[in-house]
Amino acid sequence: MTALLIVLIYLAGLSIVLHTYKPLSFLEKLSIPLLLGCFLTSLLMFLMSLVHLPLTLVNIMLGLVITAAGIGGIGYKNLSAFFQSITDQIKSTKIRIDFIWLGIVAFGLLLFYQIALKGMFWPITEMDAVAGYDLLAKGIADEKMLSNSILMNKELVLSCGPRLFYPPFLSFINALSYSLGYETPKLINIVLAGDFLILFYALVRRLSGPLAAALCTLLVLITPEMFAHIAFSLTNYPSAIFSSIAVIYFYLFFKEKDSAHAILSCLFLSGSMMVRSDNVVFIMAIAPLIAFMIYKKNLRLAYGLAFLSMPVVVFLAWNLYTKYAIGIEQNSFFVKEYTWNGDKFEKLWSYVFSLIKNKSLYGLSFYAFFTFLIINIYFLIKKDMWSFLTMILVAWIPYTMIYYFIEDEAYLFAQGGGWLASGYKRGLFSYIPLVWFYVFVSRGPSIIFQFIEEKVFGRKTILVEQTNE
Amino acid sequence: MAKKLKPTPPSKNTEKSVEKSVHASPVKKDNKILKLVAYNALGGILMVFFIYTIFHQVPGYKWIYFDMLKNNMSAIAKNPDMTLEQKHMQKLGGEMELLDKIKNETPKDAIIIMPPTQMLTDIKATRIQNFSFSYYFTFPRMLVYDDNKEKDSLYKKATHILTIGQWGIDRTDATFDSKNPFRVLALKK
Repeated sequence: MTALLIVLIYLAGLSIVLHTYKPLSFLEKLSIPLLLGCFLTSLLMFLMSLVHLPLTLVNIMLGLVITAAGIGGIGYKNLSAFFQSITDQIKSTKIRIDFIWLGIVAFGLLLFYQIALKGMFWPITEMDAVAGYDLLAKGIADEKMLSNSILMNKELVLSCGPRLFYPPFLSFINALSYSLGYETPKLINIVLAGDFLILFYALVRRLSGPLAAALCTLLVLITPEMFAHIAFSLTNYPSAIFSSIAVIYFYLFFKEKDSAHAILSCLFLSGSMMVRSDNVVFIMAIAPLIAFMIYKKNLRLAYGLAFLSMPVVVFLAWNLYTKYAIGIEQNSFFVKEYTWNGDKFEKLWSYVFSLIKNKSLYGLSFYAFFTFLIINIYFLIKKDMWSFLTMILVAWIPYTMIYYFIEDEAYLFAQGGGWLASGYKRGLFSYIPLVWFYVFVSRGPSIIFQFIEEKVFGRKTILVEQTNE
Repeated sequence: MAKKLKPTPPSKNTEKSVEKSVHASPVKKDNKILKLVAYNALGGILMVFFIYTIFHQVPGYKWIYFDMLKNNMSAIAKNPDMTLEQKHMQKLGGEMELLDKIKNETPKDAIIIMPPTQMLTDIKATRIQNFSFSYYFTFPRMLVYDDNKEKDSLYKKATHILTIGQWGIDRTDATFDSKNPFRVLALKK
C-alpha cells in the first residue's frame, strides 16, 4: 500500500513534468515529481475536504489516479519525446575524474545519512508539531476529514496558538503516514529534504557546473539550523523548499522566457502557500517582475495574471476556510490600530541583523551573500541577476515587516522562544538556498568555476545561458 | 553492389591536420592528464582545508558535526532497541510515563480525568498540564482536567481517572497496585 501510494504521488508530479520537460536536466526530471506530487496530493485532499469526501487512502489514491491521468493525458503526445530526452541525457553523460566533486558528494551523503538516522530514531517532540500540525494530522487520519474534532474545537485551536492555522500541507502529508499505520511520519520529511537537495543541485549545475553545484548544495545542507530541521517534522524546511525553488524557476523564466519554468515556478509557489501563509511575501516578490515583463511585452497580461492567480487562490482558500469553516481569523495576533512606532521598528531590524549575523544559526550563509554582493559590484552595475536580487529583497523586507505588526511586543522580542527568536528565525530558511544560489551562480564566481570546467574538463556550456538581463 | 570509391589525394589542409593530430594528440593527452592530476591534488587539498576549517572554526558547523551528530549517533548505537515510551521520556522527561500509561491502559474511546493542576505542579509534571500537548500523546483518548469539572461537559462522561497517591482512588472500584503512586483506573459505574 505504501509503495503504491508513493508511486501514485510520484506519477501525479510526473504528469506535470510531462508538460515542462524540455528545458529540464535529467536530475530535475527525476526530483521534481515527488515535490510537486506531494503538493498535488495535499491540494487534492483539501479539495476533497471542501466537498466532504472522506479522506480514506482509497479515495486519495483514486483522486491521484484521476489527477495523473487527467494532467498526463493532456500531454500524452509528449510521452515518447519525454522518454527519449531522458535516454539522450543519460547517454550523453560523461564520467569525469573529479575526486573533489566525489569527496563533497560523499561527505554530504554521510551527513545526510546521519541526520536522517537521527530523524527516524527520535519521535516527534517539537511543540509546534505536537500542539499543532501533527496533532491535526492524527485527527485527519483517524476521522478521515479535515474538519475533524480537533479543528472544530475552537478552544483547542486557540490553546494551540497559531499552530493549527498553518495551511494543511504537512498535516495532510503526515496524515498519510498515520493512515498507512506508521508510528512516525518523519520519513516523508526526510525524503522531501533529500529530494530538494537533488533538485537544488541540478539547478545550480545548469548554471555553474557540477563542482559549484556540489559545493553550493553542501553549504545549503550544512546550514546549522536548517540541517537540524531535517530531523524534525516542522513546516519551515518544506516551506523553504517550495518557496526557494519557486523563486529560482521564476528567475530562469525571467532570463530564458521559457514557459516551462513559469509553470514550475507557479506550482512551487502555490505549493509554498499550502505550507505556510507567510510565503505570500514571495507572491509579492514575483508580482513586480511579472508586471515588468508585461510592460516590456515579454509576457501577455493574461498569462501574468494566470501565474499569480493560482498561488493567490490557494492562499485565500485556506484563509477563508479558517475564517468560515473553523470560525477563527488568523489576524488576532496583529495590531488592531496602526500607529508608527520608531523604537519598535529600530529594535526589530537590529534584532534581525543580530540573527543573520549569528553563525550558530546560519553558518556563513549571509556573510557569503554580502561578501559576494561586494565582489560582484562590477557585474551588479551591469545588472547581473538583478531580478533575482529584487525577489530576495522584496520578499525579505515585507516578511520582516509582518513581525512589526505583531501586537504582543514582549513576546515578539522574547529570547529563546519569542516570535522573532523562533518563527522569524526559521522563516529565514527560505532565503538560505537563495543566497547560496546567488553566491555560486552570479557572474563573478561563475567565471572561476567556468575556468575550472573549461581548462580541466573541457566543458564549455555553462555561461552560455548567463546573459545580462 | 557497393560502389568502389577512388582514393582521393589528401588536400594540403588535411595533410596538415593529420600531421597535427598525429604529433599533437599524445602531448594534448598528457596535458589533460597532468591538468586532471594537478586539479584533483590541489583542489582536493584546498577543499579539505576549507571543510576542515569551517567545521572547526565556525560555531554552527562545529556544533552540527561534533555535538549534535556525534552525540546522537552514539546514543543510537548504545540504545538501538529503545522503545517509543523510553524515547518520549528521554526527550520530554519522566512525566511522559503518565501519558504513555494512559495510552497503553485505556481503550481508544476512553475519556480520562486528569488530576488538578496544583497536584501536577507538585510532582513537577508541568508539560502535561497543557491539554493540547497531552492530547497529542494520548490521541484519540480525550482528557478532561479536574480543575474544569464545572465547565467541561465531558467530565460527566469520563470513563477513567489518573490517580496520584490517594487522590482519585475514591472514584474507582478497580483493584490496583498500592506500591505504584500513579495509576490509570476505570471509574465507578
